[in-house]
Amino acid sequence: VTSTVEHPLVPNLLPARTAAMTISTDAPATGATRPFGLTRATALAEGEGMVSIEGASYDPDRQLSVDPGGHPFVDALDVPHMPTSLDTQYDMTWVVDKD
Amino acid sequence: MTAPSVVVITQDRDITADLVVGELSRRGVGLIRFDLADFPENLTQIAYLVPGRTRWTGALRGIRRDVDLSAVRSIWYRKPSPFALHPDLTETEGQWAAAEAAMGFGGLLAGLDARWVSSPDRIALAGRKPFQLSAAASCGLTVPESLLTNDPLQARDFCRAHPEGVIYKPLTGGPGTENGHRVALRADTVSAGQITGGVRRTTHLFQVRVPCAYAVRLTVVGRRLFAARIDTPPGVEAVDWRAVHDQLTYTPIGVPDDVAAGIHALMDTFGLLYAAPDFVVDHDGRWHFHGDLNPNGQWAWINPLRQAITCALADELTQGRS
Repeated sequence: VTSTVEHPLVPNLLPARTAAMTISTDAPATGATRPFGLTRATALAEGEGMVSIEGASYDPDRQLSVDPGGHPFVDALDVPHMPTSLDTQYDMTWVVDKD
Repeated sequence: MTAPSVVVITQDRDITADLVVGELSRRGVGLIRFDLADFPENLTQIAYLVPGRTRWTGALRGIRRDVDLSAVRSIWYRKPSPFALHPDLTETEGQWAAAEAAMGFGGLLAGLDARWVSSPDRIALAGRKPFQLSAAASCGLTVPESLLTNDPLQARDFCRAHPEGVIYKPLTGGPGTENGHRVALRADTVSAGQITGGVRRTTHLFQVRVPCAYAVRLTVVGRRLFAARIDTPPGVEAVDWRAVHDQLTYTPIGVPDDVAAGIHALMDTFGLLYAAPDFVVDHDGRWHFHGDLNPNGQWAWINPLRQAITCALADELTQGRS
């Protein structure tokens, strides 16, 4: 799967995010080579900032996620309702967008 | 059966969208939901522009249901994933196909006579923080003194000139992952002594720190405003409240008239029908905008306002064409 082409000076006409996130193994540069902003980044603990919607499956007929009993997943009292983001570009964090 | 009049573009697993989908269904509104990833392999585009007509007609045919282009009145652009291209395409083929899809599929949607909440090109433009900040100042909102630079000396001078405090704020969020870990990159205080030559590597945004009495997340839906005061527990201090998300409390509050006027002007500037801007309120009660307009920000996490915002979005999507 390939994402849309992006040009640095042309707005992305259809902002989108991939669902699954690949963990980068790039090692940070050292000294002044490292962009200053990235020196402020901190590693997250396992599971930190993530929301689980385990048990939910998409029902294409009703066009929403349902629990194993077929009830709308969002109707449950304890359902996680998507904390806001660690990433403020689109302020988007949901279960499949773990940044 | 009436053709769906509301289109929701988002990922299947976007359960926040489920709230509005459920509300629209309860109201008996015909809707169709798809993801950009459905195109081109699982969504068929058939659109004609014929002599004597000024609009594209035709359909988007999905596996289970179709979109009648002429019946679409509103489109909610939520959180789609990118076009999913045939896996056997080469990188060159895939890039070309994706660019064609962006222009051909996206361009078709952009040309429909529909009410967008909000148009993706406007979301993309409004996401540019430097533009946000200058536009916000033009609209009468209070904006902190800010520096955009890739010059380490300028950055250090800015810090020294503002002993009350300076924050560094990423313009695009963090990289998400690095060195085998998920990583967070949040706004945080910075001093002259901490500035490195690494400022040279790209643009950096520095802002004078505003003493924070409390933060506000304002959710704007059309002309309606939903403000939540965000408080951290006593003894917990964070420049960026996202760092202590699990400890926050939310209280619905009103919006000062001058802020309301400013934010409406800013929404009009960018042509947005939805945004979730953040504010810092100082100890004199003055609201400061730091460049977090969040033109497609999340909203369902604000428990006390969730139902009201859900209904407002459903209202906005059923108002008909703009």
